[in-house]
Amino acid sequence: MIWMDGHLMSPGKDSVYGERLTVGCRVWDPSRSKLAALYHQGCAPPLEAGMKVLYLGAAHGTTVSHVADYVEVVYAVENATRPMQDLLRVAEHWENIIPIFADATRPWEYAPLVEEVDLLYQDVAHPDQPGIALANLPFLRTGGEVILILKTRSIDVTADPALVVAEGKKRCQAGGIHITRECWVAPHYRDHAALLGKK
Amino acid sequence: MRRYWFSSHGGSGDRAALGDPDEIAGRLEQPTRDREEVLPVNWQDAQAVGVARDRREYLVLLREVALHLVRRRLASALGGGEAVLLQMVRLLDGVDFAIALLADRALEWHRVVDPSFSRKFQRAPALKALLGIGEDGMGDLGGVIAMVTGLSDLRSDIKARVTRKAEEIMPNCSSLIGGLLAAKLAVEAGGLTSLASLPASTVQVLGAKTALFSHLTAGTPPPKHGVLYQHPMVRRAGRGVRGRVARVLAAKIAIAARIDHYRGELSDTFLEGAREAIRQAGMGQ
Repeated sequence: MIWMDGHLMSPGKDSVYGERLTVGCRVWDPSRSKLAALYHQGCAPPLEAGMKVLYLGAAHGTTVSHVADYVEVVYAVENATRPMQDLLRVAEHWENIIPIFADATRPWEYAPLVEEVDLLYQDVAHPDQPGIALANLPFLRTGGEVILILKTRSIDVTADPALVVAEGKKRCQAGGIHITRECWVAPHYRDHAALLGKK
Repeated sequence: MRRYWFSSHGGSGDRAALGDPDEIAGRLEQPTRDREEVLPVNWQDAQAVGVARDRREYLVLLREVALHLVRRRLASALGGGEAVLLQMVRLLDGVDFAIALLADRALEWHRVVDPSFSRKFQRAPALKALLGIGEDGMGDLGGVIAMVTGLSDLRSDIKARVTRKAEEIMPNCSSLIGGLLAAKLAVEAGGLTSLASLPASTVQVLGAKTALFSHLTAGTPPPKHGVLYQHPMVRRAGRGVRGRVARVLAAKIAIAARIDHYRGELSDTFLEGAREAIRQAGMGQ
């Protein structure tokens, strides 16, 4: 990972969503990207050249574009029309983003497009987020990394976030993800937890 | 069975037989709806069947196919006129809001300019009262009145378009309650597909969210109607039967929406029966 004066950067020349640039690098702002926030906390496993990534919940493609700066290929899944229009523009710009307009709860619909990946990153608003991660686990190679952003309020607004995380962790472990670390995505996001693990 | 984007039927195919990226995307456009075992693609298989010479070529072709696929699916998600209809209704609501706001503000201004002006006993909506004042010799206010007049012309234009579009997309609902109201219901439901899957009791209170939730949480009386109140049959019905009319109307709309969504054509036999049932509901106080 590239750090400059405490700022996380990703290699790239053009500013696409208004992010600041320095020589050959784009600033990866932790207030706009949960993954960047995780790196600032020193939580997440580093991105490496040659990695294949399955990104669920690609949204407008902000974080996806930074991930794509580092790795070999990103399979970016998004299910909503409006963000997909933005993601399509990003994907036209990056040669290693494979955009997929599909529902992450139905992985068999995009299985004909996706190969085995080294990292599964998930950031979706859905009541059954652990279920989605487990349904997509067949795409991950054995020993591959999982980064699961749990939006606890999407699972149950009324429940205590800590309990929701504990519940999610239990389900992931029962389904074959060995959770090695958990942390809150702070300070820019409320009630968002990250579960990190390996298959 | 393992399914690949480069051989959707599991057989082998070389590069020439596959066609260009858009043709491949066309074959993939309809995804398998049945739950299947999830098996990732092995890119070396593409190399083995001659689709790509190396990994770089594989990724370039895959990306092209994926981009075409996304464009196709976006076009079909946004096409069909439904998305446009919903946006037009939302714009109409926006224009309504703007007209009411501007007309109200302008009248307040006029009240100051003309000390003898009173709206209290006129019982006219703000727009009408404002237009009654007239444009000439009003100075700055004249400009506002011209603007509001323009907006209200725009409003009738959009309204006519919404009605026409709704008659095209939801023929049965439109025939039953008019295109504008049908379109408003579709917006409240979040689309024709959602409207077609709602129970009649939900259709009845679409647009009465505040009343419904205050009923559910605080135990106030349940709402009898939401958007449906705008239908003349409901509005003109006596207090005693209004709930019944709204309920029957909602029941018929729920069926009409299903016909619109799944069959997509006008059903005269249904409409006849529905109209009679609604008429019956309004009889007797």
